[in-house]
Amino acid sequence: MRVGKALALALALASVGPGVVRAQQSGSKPGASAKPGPASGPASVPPDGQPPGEKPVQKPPKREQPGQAQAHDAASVAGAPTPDQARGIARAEPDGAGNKLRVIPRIVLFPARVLLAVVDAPFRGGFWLYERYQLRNRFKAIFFNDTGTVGLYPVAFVETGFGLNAGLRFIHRDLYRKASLKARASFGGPFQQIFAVKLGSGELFSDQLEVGLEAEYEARPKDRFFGIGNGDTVEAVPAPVDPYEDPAAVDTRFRQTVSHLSAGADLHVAGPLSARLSSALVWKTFDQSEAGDIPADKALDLSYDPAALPGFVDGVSYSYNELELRLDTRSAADRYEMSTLPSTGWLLSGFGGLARDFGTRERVDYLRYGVDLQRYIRLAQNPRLIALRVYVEGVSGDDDEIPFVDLPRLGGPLLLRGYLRDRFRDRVLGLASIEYQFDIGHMFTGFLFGDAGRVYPALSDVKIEDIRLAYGGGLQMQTPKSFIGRISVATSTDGGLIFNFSFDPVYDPKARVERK
Amino acid sequence: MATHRHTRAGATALVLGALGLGVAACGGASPAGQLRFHNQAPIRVVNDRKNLDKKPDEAVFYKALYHFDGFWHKRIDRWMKMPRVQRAQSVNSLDEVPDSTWFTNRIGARDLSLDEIRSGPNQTGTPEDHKPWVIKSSKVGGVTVGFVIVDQRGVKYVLKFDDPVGPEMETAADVVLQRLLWACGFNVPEDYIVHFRREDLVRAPDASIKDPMGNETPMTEKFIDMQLAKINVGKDGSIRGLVSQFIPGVPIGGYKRDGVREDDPNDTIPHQLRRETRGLYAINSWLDHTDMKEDNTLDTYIEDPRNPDVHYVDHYLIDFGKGLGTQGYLNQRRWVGFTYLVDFGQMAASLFTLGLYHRPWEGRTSPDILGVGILESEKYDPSSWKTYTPSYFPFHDHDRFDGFWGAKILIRFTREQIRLAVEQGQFSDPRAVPYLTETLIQRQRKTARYWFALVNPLDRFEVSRGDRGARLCFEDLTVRYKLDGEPTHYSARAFDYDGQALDWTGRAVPGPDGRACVEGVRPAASHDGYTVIELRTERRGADLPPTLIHIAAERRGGGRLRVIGLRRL
Repeated sequence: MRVGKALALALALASVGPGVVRAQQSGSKPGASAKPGPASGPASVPPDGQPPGEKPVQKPPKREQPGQAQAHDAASVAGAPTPDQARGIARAEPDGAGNKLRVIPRIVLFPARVLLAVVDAPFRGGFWLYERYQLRNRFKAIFFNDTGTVGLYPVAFVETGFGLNAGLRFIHRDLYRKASLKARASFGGPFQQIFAVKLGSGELFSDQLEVGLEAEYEARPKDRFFGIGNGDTVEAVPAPVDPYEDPAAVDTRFRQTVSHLSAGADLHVAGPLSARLSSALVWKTFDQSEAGDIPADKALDLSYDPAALPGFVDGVSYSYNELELRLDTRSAADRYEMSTLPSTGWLLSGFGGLARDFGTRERVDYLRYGVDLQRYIRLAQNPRLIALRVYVEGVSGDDDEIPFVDLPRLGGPLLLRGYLRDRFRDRVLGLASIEYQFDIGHMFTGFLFGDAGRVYPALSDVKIEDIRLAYGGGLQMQTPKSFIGRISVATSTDGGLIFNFSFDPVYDPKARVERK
Repeated sequence: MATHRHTRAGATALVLGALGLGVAACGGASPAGQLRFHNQAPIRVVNDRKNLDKKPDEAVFYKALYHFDGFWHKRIDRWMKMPRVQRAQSVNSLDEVPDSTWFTNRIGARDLSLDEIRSGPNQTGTPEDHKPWVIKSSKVGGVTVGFVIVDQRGVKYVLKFDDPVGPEMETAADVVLQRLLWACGFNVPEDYIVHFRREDLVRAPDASIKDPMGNETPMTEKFIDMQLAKINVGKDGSIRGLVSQFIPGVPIGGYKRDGVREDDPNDTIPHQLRRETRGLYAINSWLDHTDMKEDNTLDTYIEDPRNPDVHYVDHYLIDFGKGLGTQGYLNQRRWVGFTYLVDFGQMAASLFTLGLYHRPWEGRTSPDILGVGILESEKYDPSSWKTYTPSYFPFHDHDRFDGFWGAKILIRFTREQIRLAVEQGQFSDPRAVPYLTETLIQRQRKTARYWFALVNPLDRFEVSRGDRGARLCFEDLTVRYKLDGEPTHYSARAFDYDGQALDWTGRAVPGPDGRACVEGVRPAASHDGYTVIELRTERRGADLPPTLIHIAAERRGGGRLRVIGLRRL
């Protein structure tokens, strides 16, 4: 997906549309021809319906009607002067001072021209190769079938602080009535390994209902853990603490593997109203990160007592079932604004889900719930808009029955930007966000945002105190058909500067099952 | 009024001109300048039809590289190269374009009948009466649906269709622009809007699907059906399409945006210095033909119609379906015609003002009329109109003289002619023709008003001998087309071949038809009576840049005076 987007971006910038080689296309351009005169062709269709035979080549029609205009030919213009003699100049006007003075900047800028030629040479050569050898089509020919519905191709992405992830993806877009099968295996970056298979129903049942099945395994070698609660960051603690008792936040890493089998059904109920039912079987195991994956002082057990983290020691296995109802009226205001950049409407989403272990490991039993409310206010055309969001998520259950990784989290490129990913986690999170988006040109949108939020031990503890504030801005890129990515720089009242590059739209709610 | 481009260029010219004036003043330069013409009739046709024994090589169009160069590399390099600022070269002594393989004077030189506008270049006749059509191959590229077909007469066409998002839009825009651009004088293919049914298409036994890599696979009926499923088909099964007849000759690619075709000795004037390519800017802005690029031109190596032993290259404009606001509508881009696909200046202005910068295209919208794109006249600005990409260099190099040339041609279209051309689009919504006609007329007048204000818009000079000396008559295009009702005065003075002032001045005012004459010119005694008449126009209390008209007596024919050249300043 990410490479696909990156590729789409590169191609969009590179070719400004689909690239074709003129030599091969010339036969298809309007008015183009392959041979002089109207091409030879059939005269009539025989009675048996077979295409007719060829006709003798005709003379090309004259392009001016006699008597209406000059119908020139080689003989009629034989005595005429050549084009460069047509001006009839006996004595030319001397060059103006302006033209003469141009020699100065011409000389001054000559080294810059040479530099430009050198710097641009690889790019120009690349573009030439790209089209001369039809690399895009060759890529498709190598990795996809003729109809483009079945493909096996490499994917890669880079995430700051985690490095390169690379692998292979298989896709079959049209199993039956647009049902799809996707499979992926990749390694590196935030994932040591990731394997996934996903089956989508497409229009198998109806265009109102889409069902998906997914199996995935991830090995994540260095996820972040800053303890639990809204505590301030400290460099270190004298001895490992129980994060449920001590709010000290130390930047540590741990290892986890996640496997899940899930099924989801999206039902378009009516108009903007839809429902999503998700069910998953989840297996998670945890461990210390390996020494080679993280700096030595980042090990989780140096700062926190792993035994105090539910599920850390023995892992967890549980089922999770969730129902989400969604009212989504977000849209572009008119056809000249991209549908990928909604500027008006509401999103009201409410969800509730239940997690229960299947008894093989530590006990899991909790309820997850939440509300996502978004409002887009269009200020001006093209558009300029304000996006408002309130997001609340909580879990309910005994502390020791809620795996520590399933606690609602804040921080990262989507929720409470300006803080590191998973900087805060606890039983309840609340987030309010305001973002001003303004179109700056084809496919590019600028944005400024402010996020305010924090986590709480319980709903009853919610108060407007010690709110964490983050703010920043950046650039977003999208095509009329898809969101490509956004890059932002953010900071917070706690300081620090966070650069984020996200391939997911900030205001698009993801299913909890997918979010893991 | 955003006349910034020419204002900026004008300011530079003013500074450099002042320097030049200083130099000239030191040398005692005459207002008549140093340019002198041969005493001959202006050239109306040039010979660029000399035989080429060998077909020039096909110019391959590498789209990505072309646009990279257009957006960035060559655009910057061209600026740093600091080339001489040059006026168009492909003109005669009257600053007009003579007939050639590039251009044939039509409406700019004579009145076109309504029948000529109706038929345009189309002489073969629509293939609608010659069904079924035999599909020979798919259209290469595969981005849009299309077939190469042959009708029952054996005439070959490319068959294309409207984007389902904009029914009738591209097919209509194509034929409207095709008629108008042909009438302007450009070479264009024969294009027809056609209606047919699925059963009118017969697959040739050897029909093939061509991919961009040059591979060919046999075409099946299923493929044809799949392609037709992507387009609009009427409830009665009728399909609307556009057929573009193959141009005579062997295609050798588009003509370069700069330089010449090295292996064509007839191609002697760099394309960015051709008046036709530069002056097309004004015409394209009128028609909002934003899709101007090398790929939408085509050269063909053609056999001379009368002598099969002679071959040369003809130059065509092709593919007009993105005109009349269609490109903006289909691509859902309001800014098309106002800024480039990537315009760093506009982006920076929006970014650093956090979106507060109000861009000129904001507020534009398309009328809710089937077949009509986002074309309007209110926000249209002929001074800053832009193509979709900045890649076509002649449009960067055009000057006010090129714009004047284009405007002079486009203003000659009458309301009836424009309406008739629009009617060729065969719109099903009855509001389309009146809307487009009115919008094109408003844009036509706006375009002409702009360019006519940048030069002395006098034209159609005639000189004759009278009792009291020579009489120079001319037409003021601004008055002629009622673009400005302000009082106008002309003043004239004369100089001999050496630039010495003659003892004569003249004044005149225009008649209602824009015609005016200055009388009593006493031609100079030397060089066949070679006289340079400086004509100035005063309007709105200001002088427009003068025009120098060069007249001389014919050496034969009784010494009749004639205009042998002119120089617009």
